[in-house]
Amino acid sequence: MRALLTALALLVTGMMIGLVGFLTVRGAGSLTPGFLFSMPSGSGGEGGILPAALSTLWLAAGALSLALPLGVGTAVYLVEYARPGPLVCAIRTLTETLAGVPSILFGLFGFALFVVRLGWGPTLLTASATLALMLLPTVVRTSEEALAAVPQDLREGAAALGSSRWDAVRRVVLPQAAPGIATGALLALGRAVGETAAVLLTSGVGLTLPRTIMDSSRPLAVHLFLLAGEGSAGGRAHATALALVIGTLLFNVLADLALWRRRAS
Amino acid sequence: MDVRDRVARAVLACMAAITASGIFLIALAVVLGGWPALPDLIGTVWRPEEGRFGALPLLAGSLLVSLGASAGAVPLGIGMGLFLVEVAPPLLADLMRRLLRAMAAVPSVVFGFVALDLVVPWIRARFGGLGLSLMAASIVLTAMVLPTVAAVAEDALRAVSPALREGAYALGASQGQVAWRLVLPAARRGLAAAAVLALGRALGETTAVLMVMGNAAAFPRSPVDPARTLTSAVALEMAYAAGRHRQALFACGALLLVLNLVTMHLARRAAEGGAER
Amino acid sequence: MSSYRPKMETRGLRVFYGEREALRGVSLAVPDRSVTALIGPSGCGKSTFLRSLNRMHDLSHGVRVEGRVLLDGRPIERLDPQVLRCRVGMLFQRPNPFPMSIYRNVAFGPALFGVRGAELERIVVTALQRVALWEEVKGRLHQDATGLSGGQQQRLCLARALAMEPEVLLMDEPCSALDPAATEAIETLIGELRRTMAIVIVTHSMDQARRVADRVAFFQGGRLVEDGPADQVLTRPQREETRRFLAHSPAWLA
Repeated sequence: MRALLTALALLVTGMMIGLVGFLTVRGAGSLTPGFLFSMPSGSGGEGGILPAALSTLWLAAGALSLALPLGVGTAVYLVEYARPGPLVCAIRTLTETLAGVPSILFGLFGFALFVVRLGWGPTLLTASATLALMLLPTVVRTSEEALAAVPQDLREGAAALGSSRWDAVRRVVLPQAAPGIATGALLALGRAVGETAAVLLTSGVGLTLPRTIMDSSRPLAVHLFLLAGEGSAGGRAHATALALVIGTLLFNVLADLALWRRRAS
Repeated sequence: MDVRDRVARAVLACMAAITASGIFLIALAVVLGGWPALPDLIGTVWRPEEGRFGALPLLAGSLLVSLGASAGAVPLGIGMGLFLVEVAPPLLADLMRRLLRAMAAVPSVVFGFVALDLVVPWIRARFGGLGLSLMAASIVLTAMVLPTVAAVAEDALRAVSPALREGAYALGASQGQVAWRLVLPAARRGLAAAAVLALGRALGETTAVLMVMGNAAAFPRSPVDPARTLTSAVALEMAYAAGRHRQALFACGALLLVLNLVTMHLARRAAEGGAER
Repeated sequence: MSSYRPKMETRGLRVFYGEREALRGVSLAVPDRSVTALIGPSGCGKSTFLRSLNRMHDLSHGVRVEGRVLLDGRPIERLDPQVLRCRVGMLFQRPNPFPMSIYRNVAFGPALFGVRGAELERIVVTALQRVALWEEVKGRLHQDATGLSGGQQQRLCLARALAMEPEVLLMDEPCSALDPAATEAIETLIGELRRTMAIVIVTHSMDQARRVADRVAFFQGGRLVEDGPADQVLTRPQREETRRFLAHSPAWLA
């Protein structure tokens, strides 16, 4: 049995390494600073990925700036203020349910509300708002864990000094929970960078340089998706994919590191 | 002080309310958008250009791809779980877990892209046809869903108490027998949850499936045929759909939501059943 | 009671948990068709010794075993561990019935080696009868074993071990989680079983040692301090440490 299972583990490891290796071999050559920082030409198949990369940054920043306060606020409410009971359970269940919803449905929601009803049209802002809803459960879950991990005596110490609950949360609990919350934020960022389906219907597919978040431009993931559909543009498509993988893995590695350091201390 | 606390509580409660209402917002969007076209979905022909919105081929595509992915990911994932619990030394197990987490983090579009370059040509060479097929989609989905199954399976297997394992060894069982005859049956609830979870995740996947499935909106007659799923139809057609077509796509979204909620609920029920013992 | 050659024997047995020496050169003979009780303070190595007899230490990382353990005069490291554990069975401190039916629990061992059908059924029934559990469960053999009471579960685990027809039975404080009535039932069974097999029982109760044991071995600090016939060790111990240990338990005063 050991032999069989070890072979299986090797297979899975090989799959993963093969994926990254394949992209590296085909794409690393094209992944130059020139590529990252220049404009695309043709219909996106030539040239660089600067607008797409910038769009992704706008998107991630925008989505996080909406999801983080909302998510941490929800977590603070659940852990610090709400009384344990059916209400808290209900909120948690609903959040968990939201976590499992397919990303395309978030796209539909964003399309229906922001693009059509509110008339915003497909912009990075629209996509950010849509993505924010998608990232919300992740932020809530990790923030809740981080807050719950703060020892109770810290809160009691603050109360004994005459602090209100809000002050205690703001000055003692949140700073203590900050590393864990940051971990959640990093994980959320990783998801935001890689997401395609939710963003496809909401961000637009333009190739222009996004100067503000109200511009309509395609993020990197969508760019790769469209490139693939048009028939690979040689090493550049692989380089784009490689950039995406590095980007997402980077966030996950950072999140892992943050978790590690927290556990070590 | 007290006022600030009350204000804080009120604001935070609002935030929690918004989060909690998220799922309802999604449901509202798809239902409001697709409600008139729901009856149209009952039918076996999806040809929007002719005004026919029978979603059965799409549903079939979704189910077939997902079942195919589960058929691959569940045994492989459980095997990985067993490896992590019974075979791997702690350091290696930790490394493998990180690897699986990294795998889970790779974006869907990258999986699709790599599959387009590697899996599709292989299928074309081996089995003929376009290569863009159900099979390609199932293979990609297997890889994408595997880490989740492995993680849930590992938890379920680890939960089987060491005292039970000792008892089995003391009766003369080999390691393989302990795993096959004791641990796997004892963990069956958690493993069932992992399987249902795999199915649910696969049903909801859009991008990678879209890229390698060929998108012919008809009933696939063999695994090498192209097909279209509920998810890929929405992603593909929404850009240019109007009127009734758009409503039909929203209705597909509603159908997808129902499928997702049902599977997730079943998975949770299965998992909780296991925790009780 | 004793036969010419001991059923099991250790010579200079040492067990290391990493750097720590938990068992320091123990040499003990376990005669056939008798009950040998291992007594001593907590952490003295009794359970470590017991688990050496059926190579349970093989399953743990970082445990090193030196010295010899013999079964019928043959070293057990030369035996296939699975075969060894068929011949040397074990009953644990807390009942550990598998989460399956009563029948499948008892059948688990023989089924491992291909026993099926009517033969398997016969073995299960016999084992359950031997532990006086048959009458209580014969109507619900396919119900989950975890639904039984603590005492019934331990008897079930005993039946499970007996289904393998072991030559030696190792018991690690088998009654510590049971009430007095259940304890009495197990002790009665021990009295019957000793007629056909060698039993080694770790116990914290001097009363129990007095009731069931033919021989007693006293462990302390990983060493075998003294061993001999039960009433001799328990009432007229030869070593000072044994005397001091017994002085702290009620049996001495009884």
